[in-house]
Amino acid sequence: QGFIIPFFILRCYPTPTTAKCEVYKETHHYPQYPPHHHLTAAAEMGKSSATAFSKRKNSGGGSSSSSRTLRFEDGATQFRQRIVVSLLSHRPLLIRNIRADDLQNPGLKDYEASFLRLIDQLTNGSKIEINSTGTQLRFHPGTLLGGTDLKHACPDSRSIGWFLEGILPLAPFGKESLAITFTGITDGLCQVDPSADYWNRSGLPLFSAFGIGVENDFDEEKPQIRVLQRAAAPESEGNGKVLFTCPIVKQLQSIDMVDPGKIKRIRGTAISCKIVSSSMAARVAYAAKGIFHKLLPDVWIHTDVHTSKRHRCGPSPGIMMVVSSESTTGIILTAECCMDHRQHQQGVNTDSSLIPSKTGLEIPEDLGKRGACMLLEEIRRGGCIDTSCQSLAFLWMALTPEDVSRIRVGTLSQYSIETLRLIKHAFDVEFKVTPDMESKTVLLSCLGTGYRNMAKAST
Amino acid sequence: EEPEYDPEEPAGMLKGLQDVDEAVDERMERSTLRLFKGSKAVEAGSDEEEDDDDYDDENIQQISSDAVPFRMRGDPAEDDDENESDASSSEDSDSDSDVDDNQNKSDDDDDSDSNDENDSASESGSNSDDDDSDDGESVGSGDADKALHSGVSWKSGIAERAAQSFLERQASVLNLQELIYGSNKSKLVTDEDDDGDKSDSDDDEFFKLKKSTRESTNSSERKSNEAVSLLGEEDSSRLISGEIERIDMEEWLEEGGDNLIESLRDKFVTGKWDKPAGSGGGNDDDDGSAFGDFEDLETGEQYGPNGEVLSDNDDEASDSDPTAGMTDAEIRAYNAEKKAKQKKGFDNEYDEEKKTKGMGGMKDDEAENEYLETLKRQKEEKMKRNQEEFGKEGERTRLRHEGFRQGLYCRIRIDGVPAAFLENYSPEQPLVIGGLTPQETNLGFVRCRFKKHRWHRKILKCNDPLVFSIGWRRFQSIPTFSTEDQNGRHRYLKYTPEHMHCFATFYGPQCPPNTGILAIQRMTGNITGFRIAATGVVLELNASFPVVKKLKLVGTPTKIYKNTAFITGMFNSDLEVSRFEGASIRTVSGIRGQVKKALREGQPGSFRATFEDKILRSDIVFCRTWMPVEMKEYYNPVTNHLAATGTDGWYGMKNKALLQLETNTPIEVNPDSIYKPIERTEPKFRKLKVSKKLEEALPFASKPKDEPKRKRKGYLQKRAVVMDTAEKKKFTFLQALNTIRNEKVKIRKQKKEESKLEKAKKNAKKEEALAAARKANKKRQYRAEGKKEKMREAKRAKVGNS
Repeated sequence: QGFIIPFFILRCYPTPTTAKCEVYKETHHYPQYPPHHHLTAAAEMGKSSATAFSKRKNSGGGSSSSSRTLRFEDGATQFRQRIVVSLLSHRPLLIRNIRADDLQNPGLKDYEASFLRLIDQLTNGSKIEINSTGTQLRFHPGTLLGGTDLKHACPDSRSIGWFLEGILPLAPFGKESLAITFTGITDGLCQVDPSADYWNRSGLPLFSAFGIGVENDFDEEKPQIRVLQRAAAPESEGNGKVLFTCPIVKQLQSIDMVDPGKIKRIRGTAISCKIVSSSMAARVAYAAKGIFHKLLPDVWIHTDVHTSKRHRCGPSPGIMMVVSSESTTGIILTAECCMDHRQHQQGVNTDSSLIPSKTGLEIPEDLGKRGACMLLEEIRRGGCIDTSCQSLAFLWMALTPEDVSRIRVGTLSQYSIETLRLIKHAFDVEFKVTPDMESKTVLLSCLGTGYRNMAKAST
Repeated sequence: EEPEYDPEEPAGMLKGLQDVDEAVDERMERSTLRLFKGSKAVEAGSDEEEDDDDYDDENIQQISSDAVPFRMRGDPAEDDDENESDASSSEDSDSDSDVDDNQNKSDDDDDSDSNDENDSASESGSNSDDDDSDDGESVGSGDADKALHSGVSWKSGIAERAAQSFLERQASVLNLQELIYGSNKSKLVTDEDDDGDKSDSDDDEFFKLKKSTRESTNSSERKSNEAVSLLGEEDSSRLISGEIERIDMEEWLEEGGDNLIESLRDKFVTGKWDKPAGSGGGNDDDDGSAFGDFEDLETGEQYGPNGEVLSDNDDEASDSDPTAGMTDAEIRAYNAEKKAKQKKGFDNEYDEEKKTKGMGGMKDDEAENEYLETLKRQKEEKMKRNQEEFGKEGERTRLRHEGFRQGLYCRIRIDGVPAAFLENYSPEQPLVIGGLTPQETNLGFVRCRFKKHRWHRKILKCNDPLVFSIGWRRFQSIPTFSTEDQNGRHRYLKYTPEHMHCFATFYGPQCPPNTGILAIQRMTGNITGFRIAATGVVLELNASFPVVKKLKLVGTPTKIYKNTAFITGMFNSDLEVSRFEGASIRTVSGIRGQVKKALREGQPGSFRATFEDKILRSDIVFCRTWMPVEMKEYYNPVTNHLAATGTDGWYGMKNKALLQLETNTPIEVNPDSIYKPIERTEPKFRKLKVSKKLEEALPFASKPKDEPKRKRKGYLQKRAVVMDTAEKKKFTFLQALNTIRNEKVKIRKQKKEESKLEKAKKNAKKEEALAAARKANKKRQYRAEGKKEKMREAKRAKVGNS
């Protein structure tokens, strides 16, 4: 091809391999650089320019976008969501003063540490730095991986639902679809956190509303949350298993959930764990049905009795009920309740009591009625989504394509208000909040950020 | 009047916000007064008043702790100094000529002020703005204002005033947005908010940077400590301030015709169907008509039965029922909507038809036109949707929710531009400003499908720097080439394949998959030939990618049992062995085996291994392993705008070959890499011994046939052969013939050798002459080409200079 092999090089340094000559072929074309521009100098120059950029970033510091770190000074509030938002927005996170005032047990709790481990498992390249007292967390988000056959053991201080709630928003944005098995407590903490059954009933319809797993043909590829084995609070002893699978998407679909429709059916399950008398669950179901039948004939509440022999449920007894209503427009509202035990006080949180002690245990009939009333309360509030699902829906709405997403909400919970603020902070998406006086609901709408799942590999 | 819900609970308060069912007329009055104030601060612009405002907040704290964080969040006075400076500078950037001249004046004053004062002053500016705009309203709330103004008596009736202000806040509908995001002080401003022609009349204004009123809400520290007290550090979505939300059972279980359960009946299919579906269960008719008007003024919109937005309603009466008793305007709106639906349906049908039909017959450009049309229509639809959703409350709110949409003029301030950029900026080069999503600003590893350009002369070497051009960016990075094996393993490649795709992994900004890539080796200098070294497409992003190199570990057997052998020399320590326990190994002859366990004695790193057969002492045992290749994290953006000479002024990293040439460094020769003649000692094998027992057991065919020499001769050997004369004659004749032939062959061979030698001598002389000629020829050729090249270079330099 008319290359000139510089003879002097060959003469001076005879090389045994042709490969090295190959590199030298072109060299004589270039003008001679002054000698100080050697390799290390070039590398250093690159580095120095990079630092100069970063310095500028800091000193510029005016707009919210230039200082990209999400800083929070108020401790472990919204712990999961902040990490999730940091991962989704690819912005580093700094949380300070995590229980800094608590002299006995400062810093992160075991469940929070466990959640961090879970996130570490789900991501690649995440950097998690916790200071020696555990009161400060620095989180540098990596790439979301997903993956099948993952396992995570949850501590007994929080139910599996808490962990599920944390990673639900992340699940469709991984590199590959997710299948993870949690072990831990499945029932008996639903006053504090939504349970896995709740997410199965109320969360999964949201998945399809946002277009996750819609075009998948096989049932295995659809998102699912299955309770494989039950364990009630306060102790699971490694029983209690929940399988969560979720396919990935490239982009979410924007939603328009404003028509709550009319409720056409109520379905539910009364679950008892490790309670010898199987009639307990039936009594719960009966009491609940008694209330629902005043309004609707189409009510089915199943009983699901788990004994340690047949189903290998956990060592602690527990009884709970999940009921959901389905409307003509396919809107599902769910409520759940469970028997609280005083032992939970130690189980959940030793120093600040999450569950105040009650004088006695309530009888199954009362539990059933309470559950029914809780669902009726959800229905009374109206809207197209129940209270505990709000924040998930809001977060995903902010991540939809650049189109209007609308949702009708009965009552904004404090948690979801904080979510809205966090979304504004991290994604700069501000929802339009319009109260609808007529129906006493709130309409929320936003323009999505056009979020794309960049972790997904193209083929 | 008791509110229905407990205002102590935030949820209850929110509920209270939504169902305001008492004192409708009174509330109506107040709310209309609040109408324009709703989004802004209430009091006229004096510092005293601001103090009062703060004080009010504290009072509210006494009454309902839940209300405080919302208000405080919107309150600039609560923010830190540091925070303020941040926000103010940020606001500077994106503010516009929002406010009137009046406002501008006050802003100009602010410029000279310190940061702390800037806040309050600017706020007062905005307040005064409010007053200008709605004087009438401020008169309406005169009573309260008077009380506030009379500085001395402010202490009297604090609780009452606080309660009143709290109720007022409840009354204002727009407050819900404010409660969540804080009050929206003017943040984004456009011409619409301005006097329309102002910006047109003086272009100079457009290029002047304006100080703006700072927005109090948009900062991270906004979530100050109040939030902690509310949500608690349990991070639970169901607890409120660490308390479980209790449900009042008695309310629900109450018997009677008018109980709570009955009020829900219409939400079920068993209830009345003609009621609006989204309606609440309780007292609908109370506030339905009463607030219809109110809402109309505030939001300019109303929600239909299915939540769809009906168009503005000018009439006083607002019947919520769409099917019967509609006013003219409503009917008109209803018809318009119907029409729009029909049109949309037709459009969709039309598109579908085109799609199905057009694939076959349509020409390419026609199809493209159709496609563009569809895209355009979709875009228009989207714009319309956005307009419908966010456009009702004016441009300012729209910008808040939507950001700057297409076709808007905006002024952009870029912070932190290096001085070198301004020094070396040449106006001949236009600057195009683009945006990046937050994801794309992160650095990480990018894997791409990569191919050397077919016109580029040489293959590319791994770990030589390349300048990549991806999307908006140009940067230098160091790629690692790899190829994917059948099992998905990425194997390291030293060079790109000549004509095939390979994978390249480099460190750089993360860009979305399917983005095109272009790579060149060098930006500067005149490069002959084709400059584009390679092209590719982004496949995947990750924080790390596994690329492996094959590494064969070699060991030798020291002791061999049946199928077990002790191997040494493969590892250096027991630790290494334990890491490789169970690894498969192989001898050269192909006998497979497994690493078992490290040995206590002997050379460290020796181990016991088992094989599928007995191996030989002479066998070499090897273990095939894969080493991860470390990738270089090098990213150097091409900052050609910072250099005086543009692209030529930017220096990137050079590859090793160039450096060696420039510095006259000889190529390092690793003596180990030089091939040496292989000296092999012939293995001496012991004689094969077959035991007698085995030999006896063998079948005859396998039995060794070579019988040992006998001491005594056998019968045949003992007999002497005596030839008769005739026989003897024949024998001697044959012997003579053989002797003659042998002699002849001998002579022929000798002659051939001689002639060969002669020929070689002749050829050597000829060859010498030819080689000399060839060398001279080549030299001439190269010289001519070099001269030509020099000429070309000079020409190019001339062109470049001129």
